[in-house]
Amino acid sequence: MEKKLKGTAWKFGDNINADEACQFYKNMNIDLNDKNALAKICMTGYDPDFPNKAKEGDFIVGGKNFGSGHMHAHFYYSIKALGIRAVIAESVFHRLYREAINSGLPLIICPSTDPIKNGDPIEIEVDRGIISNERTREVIRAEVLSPILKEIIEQGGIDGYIKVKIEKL
Amino acid sequence: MGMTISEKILAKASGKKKVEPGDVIRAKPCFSTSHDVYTYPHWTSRLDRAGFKKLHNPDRVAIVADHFIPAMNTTWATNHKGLRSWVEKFNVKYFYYGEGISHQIMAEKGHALPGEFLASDDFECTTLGGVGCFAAGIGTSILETYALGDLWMRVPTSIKVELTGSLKKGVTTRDISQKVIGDIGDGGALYSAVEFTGPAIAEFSVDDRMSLCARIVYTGAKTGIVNPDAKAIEYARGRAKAPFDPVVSDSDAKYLRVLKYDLSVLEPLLAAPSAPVNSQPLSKCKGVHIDQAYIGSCASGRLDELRNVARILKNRRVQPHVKFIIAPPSAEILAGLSEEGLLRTFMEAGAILGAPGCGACFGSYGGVLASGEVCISTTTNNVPGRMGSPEAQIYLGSPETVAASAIEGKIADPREYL
Repeated sequence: MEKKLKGTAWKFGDNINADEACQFYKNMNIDLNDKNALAKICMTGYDPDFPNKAKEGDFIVGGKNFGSGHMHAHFYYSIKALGIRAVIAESVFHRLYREAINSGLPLIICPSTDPIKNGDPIEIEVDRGIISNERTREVIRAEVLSPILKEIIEQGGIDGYIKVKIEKL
Repeated sequence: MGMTISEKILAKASGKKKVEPGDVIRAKPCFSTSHDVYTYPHWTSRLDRAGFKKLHNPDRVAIVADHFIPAMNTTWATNHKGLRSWVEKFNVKYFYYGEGISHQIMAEKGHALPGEFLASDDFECTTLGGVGCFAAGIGTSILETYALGDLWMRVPTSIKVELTGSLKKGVTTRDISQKVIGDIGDGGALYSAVEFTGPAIAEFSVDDRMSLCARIVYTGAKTGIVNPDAKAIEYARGRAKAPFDPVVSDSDAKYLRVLKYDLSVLEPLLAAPSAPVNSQPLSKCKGVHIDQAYIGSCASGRLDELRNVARILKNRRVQPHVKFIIAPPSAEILAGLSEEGLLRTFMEAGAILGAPGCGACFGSYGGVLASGEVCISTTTNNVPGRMGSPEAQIYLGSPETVAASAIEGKIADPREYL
């Protein structure tokens, strides 16, 4: 994983429901290996045009309880498929916390995402837990990812992680 | 500063003296379990691609076919066939096919143990907190436990729910759980362990405690748990498939929040459409016409509760327009119903018997709803589409409330029948 991630912030509110965000019950037949189809449903429950606006390397910024409810995998697979590099939020639903890490998607948890506005250019130093807003020059201190979790993200997720560990067994 | 039961269990599981909320650790579960939905071919093929050669500890793995049993179509017949071969190939010691729902089986068969850590790929497993086990739904981390024997855990904060007083007749631990879930709300217990304590707990059977801990995930909680006492230890002793060490919370343990409830003033509650946290007093929903009444799932329908249901149904018949389904959470419970003669009461009342498994809770089969239908159910979740058509409405309540409603053909108060 690069030390510094740069991209545009796409701002969403509190309590973003995972199934609603990817319109799960409408899209449940999309195969989890079909990246093109998955990318097209990313966050469309809240912003139908999102897959056209967001660019590879951008960030999704949520508030509290991001990814709530009975989450299905289409939610975080669609975020990855669109090329979103990290999710920034004040808190995330516990299932997403695990599945984002396990799918190699960095989660940046910070006390408040208020200083970030939609469309702001953002830089994240993942190792130090620093988010810089290049528009306002404001710096937000985020949680530093535990080395245990960083190791998983660096292998691209849990599948890569266990592959490396199995080889060493 | 003391530790909560959850912190103690995770400290033990990670070989540490002390852990604190927020710590990320590698923890070794006492048992790991997964069910038929994802195990074969999803988890198994991902393990294959990672070069998986053997289970880290096949004696501590339990696989349960509970969602699609008996096989509902050829896809699932084929998957179950594959699952059986995988279980044999990798010497999985415990395989349960059609014996019940994982979150019931893990308690009954002695895999979820007081003071121990159980990892399940299904996040509804918090039911097992009723035996004093820290049961965590860990999704894809099941791949870690199968391959490596441990997994990453973030130590949760703890929220204490203190229960005093006695429940009135016709009010159940399911109603307490609905009250707590509604009060905490969606996201109100994010990454916390909700610990049910207080003098009222001693009166509750392990069955009651399981219904208390079920569904707490809808608040964002990691798990629900009850400190094991003599009753829980007694329950586990005859069944345990591994040694266990029943730790409890210290009196000076630290909690994020404390919620207090006087049970003597609690009334029956429902989760009204369309969210588990949408708590409404039963009195507000009374009279709503229903098309289906369903008793089952990992949340409710254990023997104690079904004895009450039989009391309500004895010498009565459900309304002809109501599809009334009872799917006991396990074969052991079903056998108990048979031995006690309760099955006859249910059949004479007009019930349809479902196989011991997840049934219609997740909308696949065994009581699926059509558009416009209204169901009252003891299952776990009532979001649109959960039990079939997204245009159906689901009310969730206690088995007693569901039985009374089946008799009247509309949402009814069980206290009038007990």
